[in-house]
Amino acid sequence: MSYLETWTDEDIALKAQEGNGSAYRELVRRYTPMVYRIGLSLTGSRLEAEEIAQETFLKVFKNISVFSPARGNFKTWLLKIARSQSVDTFRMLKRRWSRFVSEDTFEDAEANHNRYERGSYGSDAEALLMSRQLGAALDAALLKLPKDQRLAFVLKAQEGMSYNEIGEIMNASHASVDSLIYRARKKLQSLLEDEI
Amino acid sequence: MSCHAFHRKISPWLDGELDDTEIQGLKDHLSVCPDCQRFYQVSLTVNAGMRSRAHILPAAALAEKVEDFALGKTPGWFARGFPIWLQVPVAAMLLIVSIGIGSLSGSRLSAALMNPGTDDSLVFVSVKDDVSIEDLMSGLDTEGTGQ
Repeated sequence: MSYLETWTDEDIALKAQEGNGSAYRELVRRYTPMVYRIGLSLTGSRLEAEEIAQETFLKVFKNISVFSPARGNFKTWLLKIARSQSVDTFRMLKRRWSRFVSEDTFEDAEANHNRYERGSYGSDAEALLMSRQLGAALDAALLKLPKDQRLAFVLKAQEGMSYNEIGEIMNASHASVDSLIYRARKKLQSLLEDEI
Repeated sequence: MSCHAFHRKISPWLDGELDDTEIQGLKDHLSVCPDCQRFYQVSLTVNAGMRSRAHILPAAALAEKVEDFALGKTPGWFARGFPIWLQVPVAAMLLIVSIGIGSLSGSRLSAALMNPGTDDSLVFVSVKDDVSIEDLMSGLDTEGTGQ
């Protein structure tokens, strides 16, 4: 167990500013899963999510000297960088998709999901299958949300952040975050109406 | 308050962002409005699905991969771990070692090491102060050829 495990993020970031390798490693250990999950929810691709995680930490380490706990907590600062990196990756993916992949990609994902057959499973297996079906449908539906709604909703419903934290990450007011999340829920309801 | 206004408050209520004073009115409305009930039920299910995504973990090796990628490309990282004042002597030491290895692989020295009893490979000379380099070279040539 590293002696840094009990330290706050901000103290570790200050240690990293001194060039301490263990501090860098501890920040990577703490936040790689979260950055990866957000990247995965935004892009729908494991590979792109890994790339977002790598590029985000590269930017974090390059700019660690400008981080100041007085201006905000480390997690919000890191996720602002992750957001900016996700937007870059999102743009790149959009260009790539429009060039190489038809617009029907997400519809294909939904069609694949609909190919599941219930069969004669017991109640647990059925529930598991239902949950998998819902998970697949949710994955596809998330990717149909506009990216700001998607990010705000993912940060709230998946990562449990407050509207104020989300507003700080997205440079948006509390009311704007509220509106983004509400519209995301409305859209998800219409997309998942038949599944739930 | 209109149905739309109540509907609009379901989302912040689910997120714990609604004032306590507004919650009871919303609950009362929900008990009589099927449209709002439906939105509430679907949102609850979607929330449960989203929360289960919070357990998704990347491949075990990703943290290591991120570390290698980010630290390997961070300018000044190696300089911080390996100060500049130490880089010059280390470079000099490496140069000396490489010259030594190069010399050891030379045929004359290796021949001398392999046949220490013979003096064919190496000629040891003592140089007097008043002997020039030309005199020394011509003397060696004479010795070597027997002229």
